[in-house]
Amino acid sequence: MAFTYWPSGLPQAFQNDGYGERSADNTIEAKVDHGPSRLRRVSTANMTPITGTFIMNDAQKELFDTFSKSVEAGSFWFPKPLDDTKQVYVRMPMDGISTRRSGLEWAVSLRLEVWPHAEQ
Amino acid sequence: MPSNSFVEAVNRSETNECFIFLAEINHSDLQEPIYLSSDATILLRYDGSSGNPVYGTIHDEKEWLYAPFSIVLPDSPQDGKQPVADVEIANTSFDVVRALREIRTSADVSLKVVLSSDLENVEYDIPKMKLNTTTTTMTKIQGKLGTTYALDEPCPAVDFTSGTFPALFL
Repeated sequence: MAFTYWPSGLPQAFQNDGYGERSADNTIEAKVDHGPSRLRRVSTANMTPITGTFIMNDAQKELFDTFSKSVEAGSFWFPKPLDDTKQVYVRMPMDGISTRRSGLEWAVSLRLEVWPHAEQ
Repeated sequence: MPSNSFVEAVNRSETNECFIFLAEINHSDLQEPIYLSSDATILLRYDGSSGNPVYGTIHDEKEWLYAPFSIVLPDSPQDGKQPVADVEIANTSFDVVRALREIRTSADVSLKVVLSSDLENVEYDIPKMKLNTTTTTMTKIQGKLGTTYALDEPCPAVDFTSGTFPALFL
């Protein structure tokens, strides 16, 4: 078994500005005719979405494009946000947005999904 | 007998308790039973080929593999037929598909319900049912669950076919 890792040639952390985490959704909501809806827990673990932006130069952007194609239907180890001593196992939905900025830079906005309990 | 926690969780409009369904699929053609859990309670290991995490539930000292499944209970029986439930299992493991393909007759399925706060205590035990007419697609495995209906059993019990008596058909 060969694991895939986030390339060392790419930025190892999201920009602090705009980094976001959303709680894993483990509940199901039942609408009722009147009054507050009912909420129940349906699972104990789920994928945790995180979002953030990388600033890349042209070479890094090219490396990122190659890497993202290679993991289109796969997962990889990624430096844990806000804790660079650990890594989390993530998958990358193909809905990232790359925006050209002044100064020959790219702002690459990504949404990653962190697998539950998968950390090293 | 369901515990007080189970009864309370069932009756409350909001609860942090999670009901986990465990399914045991058994058949004489299988080398060992298939154990499935509706919940990714813990990380069991990483898959040997894809490297993806394999989740499941530990219950009764066994690993119950996480494979989301749903059961649609039947309406009232009609035309004197036994009611059957529709079951759908997410096609997440090639091992499960391969094992189900090896089965040539109905498999036995037992269902249990446990609470996430107490994985060992079986709150609800559904008696053994038969899994029939399995179809597999890329995303799910579908089948019908029911009990044995005596009037549908062949009589006489053994047919003289090439499958049961190959020497007769040489």
